[in-house]
Amino acid sequence: MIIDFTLNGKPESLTVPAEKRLPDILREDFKLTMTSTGCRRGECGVCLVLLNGRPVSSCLIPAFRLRGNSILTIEGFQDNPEYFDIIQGFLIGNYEPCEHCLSSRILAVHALLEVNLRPTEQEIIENVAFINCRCTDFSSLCAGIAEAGRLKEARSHGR
Amino acid sequence: MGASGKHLSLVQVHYPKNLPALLAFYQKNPRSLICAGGTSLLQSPVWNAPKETIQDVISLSQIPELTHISRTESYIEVGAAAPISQILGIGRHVLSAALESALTRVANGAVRNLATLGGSLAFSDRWLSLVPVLLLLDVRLELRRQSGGEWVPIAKFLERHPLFRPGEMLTRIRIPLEEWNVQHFQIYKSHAFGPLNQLSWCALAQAEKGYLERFRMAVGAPAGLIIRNRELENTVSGKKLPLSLKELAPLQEQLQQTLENVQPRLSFIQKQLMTRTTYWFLLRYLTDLWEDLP
Repeated sequence: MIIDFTLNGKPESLTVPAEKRLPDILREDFKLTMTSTGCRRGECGVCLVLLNGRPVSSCLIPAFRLRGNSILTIEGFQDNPEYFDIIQGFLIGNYEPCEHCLSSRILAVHALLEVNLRPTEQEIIENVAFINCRCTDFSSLCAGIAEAGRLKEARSHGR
Repeated sequence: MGASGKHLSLVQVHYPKNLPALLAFYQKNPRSLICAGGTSLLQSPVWNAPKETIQDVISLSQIPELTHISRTESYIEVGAAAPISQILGIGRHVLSAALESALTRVANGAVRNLATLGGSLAFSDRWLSLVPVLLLLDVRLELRRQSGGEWVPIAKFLERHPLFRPGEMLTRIRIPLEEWNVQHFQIYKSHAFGPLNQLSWCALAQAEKGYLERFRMAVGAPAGLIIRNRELENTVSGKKLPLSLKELAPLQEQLQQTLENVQPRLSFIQKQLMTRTTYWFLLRYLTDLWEDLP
């Protein structure tokens, strides 16, 4: 079937089997390889992308669900100043996620900071810490997010 | 599944634009698979089985009526295809605490942005997390067909075999906004117990002027097993608070009796979890500690 959707800000039209899942589409049809794949059951969260601005497990999205929707992957987010707020915040907070979960963490933090620049620990647990990867130390993750929030806030105030 | 399998081209997807178009198509093609969030469908055996004939899939993503949430003084009405995160967005001060607790325990944030309340009800293997709470809250479900619709109490819906008649679908969920002093939801999904021994447990209690006016309790187990014992509830309801330990003894017996009735379907671990949680709840909230409640 033909699917029209927006990928990283660009309109795309793709002929694809209706049930092909998004991580496979990103890799095979668009050569976007930075989104990891994990359990393929939505449990681990390492394949996270943003669907209309909301974080979702891409492994649970078949091609036909893309129609008319907008997908943002880490490749599309890298040109955004907010990407650098997050990376810099992570470095200042001594938080260094591994290659496997990096893209998911950044996008999840981005989605969280869009609604709350100073998230609570509970919000971090619910929105970012669920991504299942052994690399993560929760206290440095919280520190990294706090710094990223401050940087984003400062930039948005032109400081 | 992704790129593999020769059956890929056998899936045909339909995108009705509104509810009448959806019901008309479904009436003509009652064997179609319904996809709202897709989290239940993509893991269902029906979807993952090799397909020999064209499989019609109806995507609900473009039907605004099914994702709408509205509120009155006495209830919240949720479109069956509204994502769970959208329902949580209604806010803690409006949602029942037990329901909010159950909703936040559905998978993780990235799944809750896709998964829907309708999906949790339409697939009986997904009843574990939310259905005991919805049952205690006396939720009503709107079932629609092209020829009309009806509001069905959830208790009746759960007894139906099959859950849906041909061409019938779940369109709205009405959640009453009742006041309960104490609401507790607990889900046991530990690796220590294994996937077959999972259990969800929910209780609601309302006290007034030192008496326990109402008490409700339900338990969910895998494979669509939902247990609610109204006799037990009636035994507790109406009692003066705090309950004495002496009064708790017959309740335990009654609970044991309930367990015996469903014994073949509950494991030893599940029975332990159920009795221990119930006893803990009664001790924690309805005995000497009652006065500590906010």
